[in-house]
Amino acid sequence: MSLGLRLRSAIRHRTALPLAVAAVYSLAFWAPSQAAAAGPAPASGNVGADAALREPARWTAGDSDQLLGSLTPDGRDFVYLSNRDAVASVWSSRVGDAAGRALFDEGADVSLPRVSPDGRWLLYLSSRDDATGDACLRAWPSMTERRCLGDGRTAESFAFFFPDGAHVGVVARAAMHGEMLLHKVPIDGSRKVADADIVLPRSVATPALSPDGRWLAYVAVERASTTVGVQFAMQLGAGLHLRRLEGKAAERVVRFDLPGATGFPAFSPDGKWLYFAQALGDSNGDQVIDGDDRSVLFRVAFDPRADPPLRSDNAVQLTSGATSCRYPAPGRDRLLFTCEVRGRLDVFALPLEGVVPSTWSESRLLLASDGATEAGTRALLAAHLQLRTHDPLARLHGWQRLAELAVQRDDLAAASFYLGRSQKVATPAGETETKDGEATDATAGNAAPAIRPGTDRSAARGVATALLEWVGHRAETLRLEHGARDETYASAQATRLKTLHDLLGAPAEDVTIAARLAIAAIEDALGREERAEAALGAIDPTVATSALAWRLLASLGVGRWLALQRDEVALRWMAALCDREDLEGAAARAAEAGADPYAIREAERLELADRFVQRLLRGKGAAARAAALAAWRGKAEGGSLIDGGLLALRLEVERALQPLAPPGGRVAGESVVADAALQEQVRAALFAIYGRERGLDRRRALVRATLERAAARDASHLLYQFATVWASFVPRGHPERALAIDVYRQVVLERAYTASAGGAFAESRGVLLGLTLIDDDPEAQLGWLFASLRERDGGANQGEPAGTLAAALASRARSGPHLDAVAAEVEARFAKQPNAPAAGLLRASLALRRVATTRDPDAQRGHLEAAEAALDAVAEAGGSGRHLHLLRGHVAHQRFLRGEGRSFAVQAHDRYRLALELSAEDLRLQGGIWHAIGLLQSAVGNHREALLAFDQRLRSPRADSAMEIGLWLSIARSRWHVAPPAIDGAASPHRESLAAVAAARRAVALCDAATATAGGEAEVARALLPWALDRLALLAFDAGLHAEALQAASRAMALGARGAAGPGAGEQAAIAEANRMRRSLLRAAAAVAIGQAEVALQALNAARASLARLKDDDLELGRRPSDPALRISRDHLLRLIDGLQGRALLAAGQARAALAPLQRRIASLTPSEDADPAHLTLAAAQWHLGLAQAELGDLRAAMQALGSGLRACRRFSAATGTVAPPERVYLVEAALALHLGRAAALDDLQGVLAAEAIDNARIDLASEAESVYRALCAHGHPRWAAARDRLQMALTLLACPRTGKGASPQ
Amino acid sequence: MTHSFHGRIPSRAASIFRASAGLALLAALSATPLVACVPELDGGDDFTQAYDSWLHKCSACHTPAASSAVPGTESSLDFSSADKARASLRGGAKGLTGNFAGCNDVAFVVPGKPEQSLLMAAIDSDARATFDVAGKPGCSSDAISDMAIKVGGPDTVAIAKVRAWIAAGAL
Repeated sequence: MSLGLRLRSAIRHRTALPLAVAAVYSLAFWAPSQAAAAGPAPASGNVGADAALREPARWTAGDSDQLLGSLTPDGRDFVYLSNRDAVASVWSSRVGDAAGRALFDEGADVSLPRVSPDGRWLLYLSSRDDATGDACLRAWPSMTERRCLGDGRTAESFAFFFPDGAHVGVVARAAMHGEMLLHKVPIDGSRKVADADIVLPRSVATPALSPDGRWLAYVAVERASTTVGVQFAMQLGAGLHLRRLEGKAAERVVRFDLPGATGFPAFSPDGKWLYFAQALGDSNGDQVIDGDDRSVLFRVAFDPRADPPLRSDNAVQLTSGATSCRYPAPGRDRLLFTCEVRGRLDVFALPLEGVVPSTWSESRLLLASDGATEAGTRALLAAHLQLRTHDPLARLHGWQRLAELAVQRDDLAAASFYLGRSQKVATPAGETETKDGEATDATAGNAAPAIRPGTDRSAARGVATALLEWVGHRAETLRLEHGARDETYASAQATRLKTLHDLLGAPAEDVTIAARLAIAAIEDALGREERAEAALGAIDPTVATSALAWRLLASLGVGRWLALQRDEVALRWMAALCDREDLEGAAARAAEAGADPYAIREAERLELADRFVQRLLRGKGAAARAAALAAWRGKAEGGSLIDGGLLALRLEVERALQPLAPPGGRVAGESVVADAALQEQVRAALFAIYGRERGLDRRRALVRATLERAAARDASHLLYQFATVWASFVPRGHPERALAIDVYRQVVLERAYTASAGGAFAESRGVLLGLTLIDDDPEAQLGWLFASLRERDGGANQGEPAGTLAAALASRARSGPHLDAVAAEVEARFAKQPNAPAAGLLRASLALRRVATTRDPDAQRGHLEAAEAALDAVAEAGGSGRHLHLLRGHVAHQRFLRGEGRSFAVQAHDRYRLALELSAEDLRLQGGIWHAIGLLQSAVGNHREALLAFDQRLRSPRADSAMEIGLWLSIARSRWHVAPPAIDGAASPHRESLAAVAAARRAVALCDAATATAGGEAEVARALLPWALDRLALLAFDAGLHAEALQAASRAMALGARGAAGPGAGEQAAIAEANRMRRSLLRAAAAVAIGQAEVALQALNAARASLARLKDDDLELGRRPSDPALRISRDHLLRLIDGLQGRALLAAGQARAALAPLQRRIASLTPSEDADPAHLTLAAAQWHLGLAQAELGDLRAAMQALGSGLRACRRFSAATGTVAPPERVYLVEAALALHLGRAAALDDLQGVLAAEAIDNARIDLASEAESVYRALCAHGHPRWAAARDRLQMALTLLACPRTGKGASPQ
Repeated sequence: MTHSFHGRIPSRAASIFRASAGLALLAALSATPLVACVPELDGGDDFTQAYDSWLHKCSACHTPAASSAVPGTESSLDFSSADKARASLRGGAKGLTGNFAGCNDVAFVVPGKPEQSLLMAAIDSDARATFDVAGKPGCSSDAISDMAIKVGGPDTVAIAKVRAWIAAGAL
């Protein structure tokens, strides 16, 4: 997966996008893949901040929930609640830095943190001393002086500061079943909550006090039961209560001109706005609309001097309904709130006016809506449009539009509300609609305005009536359990059908259309498909006389035909709706005259045309697609379609795209290659159409279809061509321009990544350099840095092998001069903006890379400090985001590796996880972060966790060869660590051991493949190859694959022979010598294991020679301070060589020569024999010594050695409980062979000598044999079958009495 | 990145005259509102000033063997310095491919005629929208990339400078 990755992933993840991206998606068919974690920023440096809909900035991140955020008075920090540590606690973060810190350990759950306006106190609810809740204070920011305002007599559930700074408002109940009353409690603690003044003698929820202290806004709480208290059975009152605390003005109940329920009021610091959350419908299906339902944020202008202080009909929607948000906390210049994204809560921020800039005109809202594809965003824009609409007819259409959008979203409560509003507007002046017997008054402009002449008022009412039946039907259907239909339900539907059939007599076509759609839905739900089809079939889609009817037909009508599996009819309807002559002219006239903003827009029809094509070609192979398109082309040519109409256009575009994959993916068996010639052919055809079509909507449709298809086929040429023309075409100031430029940017970035992955770093650097000219996007900046350094890597590697694997992997680390060159380039580029966040990120990245260029701990620490300082400067300058967290994670990671403590490992992990959270749409960066997490976990020793992280990394796109090779080496290492120690040796290596070997083989293969290419990639791979072979050799040896181990080690030896060391050659030379020594040892061990004694002896000679050339300190080179591996001394190595040499000489038939090294080996093991594995090592050495002695005919010495070996085995068995380690088997068999063989072959004298030797060796041979035999029987592994049989025979022989001199035992 | 001024330094009077003449020409030829004044940037003539403030970014792609260039990037321009840029702008476009190939051989600068100069169309959206070269129907606004999407901007002051420079004869 290469080119088109970002774009395709963005499309694929569309339905699961966080709000940050969903709002942007709503504007156009594309969206930038990054989720911003800074404050509101323009999508591109090319356009102003108000050019596009804003994205809520995510201010917290993590695996846990973060909620109830509010700014400190100075605006630099914010406090919030987090359950990261299982207990809900108060956290604080610097604005722009998602990494926060817990402020204090309450030892129990807390909630609702907020800092006082004077900045002296932190107020929160605590359950530490009272599980029902205590309002408590701590001094800010020291968090000392804890004291609580309750004393156990009350249960506090909400608290806020009074503006006087001396009081706290606390909602508390005095008894289990008491009312939840608002108290005014002095901060000084002079009175507890129970004794404090009661502000309001009724139950309230989440009250808010205006900054001047005069107005109280709250949601009333009613008892839902008379037998238990309000706390246990409450229902929220409708509307928002406004109460003036001074004077005798009547309390007002405000019901905003919005569907659903209001909650969580909050005043702005200047008192001019009241913010609140509105649950627009019963999203959770509990038949109650309350704070548990999906909610949207609003604000309304507030004038404390006026009465009423606000209007209920001009609430401004701040967030899209795509994500549920609540708990608004407006600051001086930003609004904080909490949203649920992917099942978790986090704190977000927006400008105070929300997603839609207040400067947007009606036309701009319409333009943005044209490009919006997400229903919630369309509804948001429609709501804003409605606020700006005062013409009665337009307002009617606005309500209808909102109703239709709600119907599309299946948001029934909202649909019902808007339909009711449309009925009201359509009602003649002087009449009022009633609902449940209660007059709905309180909206400004209470008198229903007159509809313009020519408009059939009754049509609007009739349509609303029909749709309300549909809404009711849907609500009843959703309330049913799956598949359940009962008489009550059927009866209710029958009643609705009667109402709808009565409407069929209405003169207005739109009424009958709406009625028939509703009838079809109900009949279908009742299982009467024929009647449903009959109702639909009676509709002529060409005669819809209103925009509402058209849209209903396009959504409900087409959807119903598809649900009835009548695709061919659905296609006819889509074509008919799209291809209406009257709309062609009407749309153009409306656009020119700036008339009704709710007229059918060309963008909508083009979207319908796109749906048509998708449906037409779905599931068809190439031949069938061509036939289907040809059939419709025939209609176009035959005049059945409007010449130059939208449907004809979309079909023409589709024909031009046919050489690429069809919409929805390939059909099995079709080619996926989109070669250059094919792309050029498609491009030429499409560009011809593009040049002919001048309108923005038409061009957008063409470009959208082209880019989607090109992204799916990795057609880079097409992507670049049309991303460029589109971004060049969209006018400056248009809402889509920023997104068009972002699409262009993504195409170019993809090109850069593809080049990097292929090792073409020069091209990658150049492409990224171009992007850095546009703005300071960290991705482009850091990508340019990486490519610049990698481009220079190839030149730096002059054939010298890297001293250590770490240096080889961080090959740019050897490029100190190249780091300087790039650093100079960075400073030159940012000479005029030295404090730009991008500059800081680059400096930090460079400093991190310098760490590996030196072994001097002080110098390393200096580089890390420089990196941290650069990152602090970035944060100070307002920079934030995933790259900042990632780099901070790298710094902490390095600190841990340099032995500064495990707390840095924790810090690094936290930062990596934050960066991961903030990189939800950036698969490449996610891959890099997972890689870093894996390395961190393996460094800590959590290899299983490391493997999980590496597995995640493997799901990400391929990076360059060095990264991939390093990844597989890391996987190999961790796999080895999780493999249990081999018990039975080479016969049955554990699967994890084999997996480790496989991973190492993969790394070697990648090296070999990369070295076959040209350029920097080949150079880096050549530097890494010896290391990959080293690992493979080691892991293969451990898995018992000795031949492979020998081959790999030999190859590594040959590659590492360059760069010969010598006296005064420096540290690099010493490291190379140490590497040669290690490789020689490994070769020797492998050769011994497979019986290649001569090869082993040669390798051992080489190892001795290398060891002789090394100083003692050289043996520790390359080891990190945090490395837990054992230290190995010169003596240790020499004795290891002795052991191998003894075995090799023995195998070569030089038993006498083998004695000395074996004895030295044994002597070296004896002092450390308290280590379990050492017992077995000693036992094995004794075994070899015994064999050597036996070879030389010294029976006594042989038995002595074997006896010592058996005693070592007994010590091991006593320590571990393992009865028969392999060494014991070998020793017993050797002893038996000597005893039985000699005793049988020799005369009694020799037999006496043999027996004496056994006695002297203190071997109870019979017991040993018996014990081992039983153990092997119990073990049952086939590998020991032969040994078991021999032991059985030996035991039999041992049991036979001797019959005489020279006679064999019987 | 430093920028040294090369080439002839016009006298201040001459530059003012040329600017005035350019503006008058612009008023006569263009339907767009007259720019009241073209602010002075650093030293040098209009083109040099525009280069120093903005056009130098074009060198990332429009320099021989520029690493940022992608297949299809115009191949004859050299923006590595103001002088080289000035010189290379005397020619016509080369090496354009795909949607942009229709503008090959179209002159970058037509002295005295900003509205017919490909350079102008590449940096200014208004000029691009009305760009029309006789004999080159393939070089319409659709076939011209907006350079601002590649280097950031647009820099309206620099654009005005370039227009003035072309209108004054593009010396």
